[in-house]
Amino acid sequence: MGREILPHERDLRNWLQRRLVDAGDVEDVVQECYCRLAQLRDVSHVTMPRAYLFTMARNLVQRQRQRARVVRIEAMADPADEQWEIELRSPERIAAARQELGRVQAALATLSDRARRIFLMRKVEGLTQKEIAQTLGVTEAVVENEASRSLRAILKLLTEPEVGQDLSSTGGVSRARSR
Amino acid sequence: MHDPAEEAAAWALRHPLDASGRAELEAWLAQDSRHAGALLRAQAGLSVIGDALTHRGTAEAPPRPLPTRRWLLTGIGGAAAAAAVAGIVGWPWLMGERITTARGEIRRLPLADGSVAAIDTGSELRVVMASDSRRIALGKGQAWFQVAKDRKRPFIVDAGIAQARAVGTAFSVSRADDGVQIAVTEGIVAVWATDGGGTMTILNAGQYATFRPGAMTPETGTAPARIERALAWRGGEISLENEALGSAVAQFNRYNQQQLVIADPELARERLVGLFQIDRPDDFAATVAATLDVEVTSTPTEIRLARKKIPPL
Repeated sequence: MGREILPHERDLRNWLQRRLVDAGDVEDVVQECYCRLAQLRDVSHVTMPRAYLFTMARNLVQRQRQRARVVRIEAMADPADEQWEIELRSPERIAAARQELGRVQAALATLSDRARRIFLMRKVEGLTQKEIAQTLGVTEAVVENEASRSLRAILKLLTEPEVGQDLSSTGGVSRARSR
Repeated sequence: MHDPAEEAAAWALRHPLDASGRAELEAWLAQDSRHAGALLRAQAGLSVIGDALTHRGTAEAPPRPLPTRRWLLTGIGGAAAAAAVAGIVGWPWLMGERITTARGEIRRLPLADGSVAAIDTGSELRVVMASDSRRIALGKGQAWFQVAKDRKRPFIVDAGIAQARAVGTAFSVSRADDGVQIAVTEGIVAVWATDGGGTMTILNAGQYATFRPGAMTPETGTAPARIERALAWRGGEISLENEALGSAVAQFNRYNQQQLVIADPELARERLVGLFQIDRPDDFAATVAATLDVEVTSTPTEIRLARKKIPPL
């Protein structure tokens, strides 16, 4: 499930950013979404991960606003928002998958050689942290720190909206605008 | 400094976990309800990195078939889905979880030890990760395993009459009433009959072994291309290389509610070549109609293939 949600996190952040003032609120909503996903015991109803994620986020935002007793004129149920309830269709999904891959590869390019080797050894050879440390001739703590730091850096690169990003570059948004 | 994202990254990277590690993880998850979410996200990130580094992303873009409307219609058993989530989210919930796939459902399931199971339609299996072994009991159906290397914990698949054991490799196990077949796609796997008195057969990549009920030793053979073709379901496809229409139809029918029916037995013996989408029996029928001069009649539950009647002169 997480693997299916992560590629949409960036779009979600963009979408939230356009609706929320505070960056801290965006972070809270995203965190809460993952938290709820992790606690799902039954995902049989989640057939469209993207739509599910956005619906969940929208409900959270609404709840947050009610709590804050801030009444906004802007209606949350803006019909243009409904576009994400339609899952990306095949050609768009392929384009999105390519885009994601490009993004992942750009992010990987920022890794140090050692971090790259650590992830490769872990994934391909299935080595433990200890075995990796022995192979590289460093301590386990070095391996752990490097891998952890790199993982977080890549997650950040993959999910943070770019400043001044051309919003029409994502399929969903352009459809929303055309309505 | 308490940073959930940092701690989650560390947990996602720590493997394999021994008993005390698992207890620590459970304690950490219990500390704050956000921790499970942060862990889920870190694991997803790790899986993205791993796939990209091994260039699986290129082959799989678009990744695997995402759940489609058809899945919504066929539905997934609640318990099975819960088990699947447990498998993705973390270790503590995985112990002895049962995983089933419905008709037409093909699931790729990351296991707690870093291995990946691709589970074919209509299958049932149970995963038990222990400190000294990794065990899968395959109740029925078929699964392909990409086993993460761990010399201290052999990966053992129990398919009833036959067993397979690996350390770090990739292989499939298929269990049906008439026997169990194990096929190796990477590395080396040891296989044996459960009642075989301890005689093991070693299979290399490209080799397969078929165990029949009551037989002590398997039939073995080498057929790398055929093994790969037979595993096309992992990508949601059926690959036919000169196969009889009857057997192709049987394959499609295992995945779809809408059943293909061949009206005359002679037609079932026709041979076909091609790569088809598992969930599109209608496309398959259209191709058959075009190549074999067959008439197709569809209802919501059935697609009937019949020889075109030659009008009397």
